[in-house]
Amino acid sequence: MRRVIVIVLFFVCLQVVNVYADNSPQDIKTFLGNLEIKMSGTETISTDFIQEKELALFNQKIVLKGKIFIQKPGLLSWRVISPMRYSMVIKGSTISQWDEDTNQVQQVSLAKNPSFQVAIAQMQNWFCGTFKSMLDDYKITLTREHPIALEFIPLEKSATRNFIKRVMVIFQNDERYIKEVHIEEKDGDSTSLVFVNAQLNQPIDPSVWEVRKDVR
Amino acid sequence: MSGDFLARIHDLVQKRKGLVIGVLGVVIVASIIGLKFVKYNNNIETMLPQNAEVQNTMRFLRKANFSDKLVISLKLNDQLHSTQDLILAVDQLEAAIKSSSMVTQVISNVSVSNVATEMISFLHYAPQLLGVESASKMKIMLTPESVKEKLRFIYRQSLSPGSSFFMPFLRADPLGLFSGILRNIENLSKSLGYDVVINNGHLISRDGRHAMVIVKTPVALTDGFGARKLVTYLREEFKVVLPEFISADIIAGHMHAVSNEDVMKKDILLTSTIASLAFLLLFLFFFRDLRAVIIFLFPLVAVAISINITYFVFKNLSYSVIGMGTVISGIAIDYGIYIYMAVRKAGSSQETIRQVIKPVVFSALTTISVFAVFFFSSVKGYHQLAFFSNLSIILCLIFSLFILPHFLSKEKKPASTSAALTQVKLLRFKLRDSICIFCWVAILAMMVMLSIGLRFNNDITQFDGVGKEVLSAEEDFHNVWGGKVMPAVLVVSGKTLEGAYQKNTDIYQEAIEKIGKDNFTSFASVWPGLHTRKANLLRWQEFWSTELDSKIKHMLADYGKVYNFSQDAFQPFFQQLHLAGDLEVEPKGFTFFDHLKEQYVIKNEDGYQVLSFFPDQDKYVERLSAISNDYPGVFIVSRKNFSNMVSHALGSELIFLSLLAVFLTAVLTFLLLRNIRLSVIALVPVITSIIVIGGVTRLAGLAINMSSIIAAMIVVGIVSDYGMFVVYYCKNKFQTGTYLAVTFAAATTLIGAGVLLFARHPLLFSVGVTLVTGVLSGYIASLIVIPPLFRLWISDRPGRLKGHTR
Repeated sequence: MRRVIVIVLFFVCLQVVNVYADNSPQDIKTFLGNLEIKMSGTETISTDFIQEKELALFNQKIVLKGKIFIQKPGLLSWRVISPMRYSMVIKGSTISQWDEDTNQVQQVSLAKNPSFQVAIAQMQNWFCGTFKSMLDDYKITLTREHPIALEFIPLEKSATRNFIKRVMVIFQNDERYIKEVHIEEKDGDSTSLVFVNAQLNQPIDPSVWEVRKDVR
Repeated sequence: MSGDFLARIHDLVQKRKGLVIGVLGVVIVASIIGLKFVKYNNNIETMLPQNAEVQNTMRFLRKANFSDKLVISLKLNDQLHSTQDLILAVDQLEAAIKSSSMVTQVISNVSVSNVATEMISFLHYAPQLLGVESASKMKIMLTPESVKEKLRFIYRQSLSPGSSFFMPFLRADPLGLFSGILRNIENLSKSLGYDVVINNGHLISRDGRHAMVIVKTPVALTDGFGARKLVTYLREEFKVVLPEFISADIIAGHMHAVSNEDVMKKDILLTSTIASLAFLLLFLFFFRDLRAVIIFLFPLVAVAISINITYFVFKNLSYSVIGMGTVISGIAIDYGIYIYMAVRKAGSSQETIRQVIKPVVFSALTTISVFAVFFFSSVKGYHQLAFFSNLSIILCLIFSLFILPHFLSKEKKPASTSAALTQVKLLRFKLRDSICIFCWVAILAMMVMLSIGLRFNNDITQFDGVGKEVLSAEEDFHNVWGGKVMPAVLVVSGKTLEGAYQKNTDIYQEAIEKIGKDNFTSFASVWPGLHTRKANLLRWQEFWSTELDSKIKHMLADYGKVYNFSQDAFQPFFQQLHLAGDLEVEPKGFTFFDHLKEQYVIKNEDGYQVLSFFPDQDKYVERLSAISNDYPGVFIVSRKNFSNMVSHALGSELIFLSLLAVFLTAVLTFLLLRNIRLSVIALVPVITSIIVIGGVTRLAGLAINMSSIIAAMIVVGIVSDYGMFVVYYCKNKFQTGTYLAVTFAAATTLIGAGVLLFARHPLLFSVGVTLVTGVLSGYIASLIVIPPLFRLWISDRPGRLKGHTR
């Protein structure tokens, strides 16, 4: 019996070694490069999303519903419909925000807000699929091939390690866009983002790149 | 000099000609060999006054922690490679150079993975850090309306996509009481103005194509040889370690030291070569006598001997002083020319020498006196200049008076110089006296008009002759990393760290009142002195009573219900409210604090210096100077202010020295001529030169600076000789070829000074412009203006020279 356990452990270890072998830095770089090429055919994305946040701040899980619009390069619109309407549009290095509570439009320059810039750069990378550039900040591992699942763990000296413990990104079956993002934060909070009804390369109404007080 | 004495020396040299030549030959060979062992330095401090303020600044710059640092900027040169490749190259470079004896530390990466946790943890010190003004602000922040507003803000933020990055801070400081502390830390870390992105812990540019490596070195900026060795070593390592697609630039004061030395060396070589060739051609072409080459050799020998002796006396030799070598040669050669011309014209007899010795010796004395006044200066470099120049001139004078005549033909050869003489004669007789003087006065008036509004440039960086490649690398560096505009620094000194922190805090309070908080970046904004923190803590404890604590807890719980905030939502905030941290000199275990401290606090053998930064503008320097004057050990280091300090310290000194030089020149002129009118006429070239230098400088769009003032003083010494000689000739009518001798003397001096116009180093160039303008105008005035003036003022009035003794 003892010998069987040793053999089983041996095979388990061997599998682990194989997993690491498949994820050598050069392999993952090539893999992400290929993935980016595959995603590069997508110029526009419009998708509904459901975001679930489990934060120590709240008694219960918060569920946000809304829409995301992306047009490469450099345009991103994040619109929350419930529980409170909120809009955020990123145009180049400027962010415009609005929420129904204040009904005020606020503009922020990324160049003048380095900490905000880190957060936004992360978001753009997740949603636009520019994962290769994230190798500077994360150790990226391919944990599943079909559908593709990538695990991102912040590198030891990375600034994101201050906040994020681990991120999982799961792709849709056709690998043209992501399906889910799961973020585990350092302090125990977690966030899941699920994309629903993703439409690729469809014309997007230009009004979604504007943030106005009367947004509905 | 009595005739007997002259005759004795003349006879002695004649008798021992072989021995004299032998001894001279040995001295020359020894001097040439000695040149190989002379150590030069390019230390700007040698050329600065010993004024207390200036020395304070120089001592600070020498000991400051940034003077021992070099920055290496690595650049990706192609699009095929990524930031990852750049980071890999940085790590390889660090591994290669960190064990060198010329490198104390290599900083190529910083860990920022724990910064947020550290920042939140640092808020434990908030009760010690929030000052008097915070209490009133907190009262406003703790009203029910304000609390409600803050909670609504937190809720909104929690719904935003980047909430993960803000949440820890919002929970630790829901009411924004401590936001000022965090903002101060951010401001302090940005104060040096470099635009750095931390990528995988490495210092990367925003475009991801450059990396920064900071190298600490024990090699001092002022150590020219060490700096060269260090720069060469790093460049060799770049070649070995870095891949082809990555290039590297070194940005450091050491590069300026090396480059300035290179530029100065090239200039000295270039100017010496041009001057030597020009001298040789002039002598061979005009004199058509191989023995004339001896006149050319005398100054070279004199300069070579003087370099050795000056080095022996001063233990080092400034490049700026040696750069004046060609000018000194051009001046020192004059005495040989006067003797040579006299001998050529009147034959090599003791009588000929006697006729010419008086003006030659007096002209040498005037030049020596001008250089000698520099001994009264507080600038050590000027002492070197005075010693070196005077020694060269005295040696040349001795050679010319006692050795040269023995090498010249004893026959008269007036015809040999007829071509040149004819030209001079033409100058003498073509213009009518009165028209000539009128034109001179008109030109001087025009030059005076032009001189109005002449600018004085006191910026000492104008003398930084650093090469184009260094400037180009620095331009690229600032384009990538920013930080081009350097702030001024307020330095607070203290025997102990706590003493320095407290003094820094006291000054901070006054400074922000005078120039505003946004203009003054001080370490006190993040870490005040112990005394202040103790007072802050007491105030905080009084303010945050148990009742207030309980009231705020209830408010947050009640008003947070609407958002469904949890019971523990703001636990981190309440945990730190009463912790307050220990009252210690400084916090321990905070990496970000240690990084900031490294930028703002310097430890040296005298204690500590805490630095604060502010825009280098006159109005701020003035207001903060008023504060710093009240605190011993506090001073301001500003590029602009430093230039002002130097020019202020040197300005009054130079005025005194200039007046002394003019006075000595006038006295010596009078002693030679023994007549006030003659002396006034002899000073015409001096007056002309000074006025024309002012006019031409303005006309050329240049500004007057310290070097040009010194050069102008030298001009006074040179052109006064021409005046003396011409007036002496007008008075005595000795046929010693005076006009031609003055012409050649001016020509050689103009060659010596004119070659400086080819110099790349701004210091030498500036001297060249002033010397050429002054000597040329002085020469023209002595030949064209003095004779008509003499005829009109002296010759036409019989009896004017009565009582004069020759």
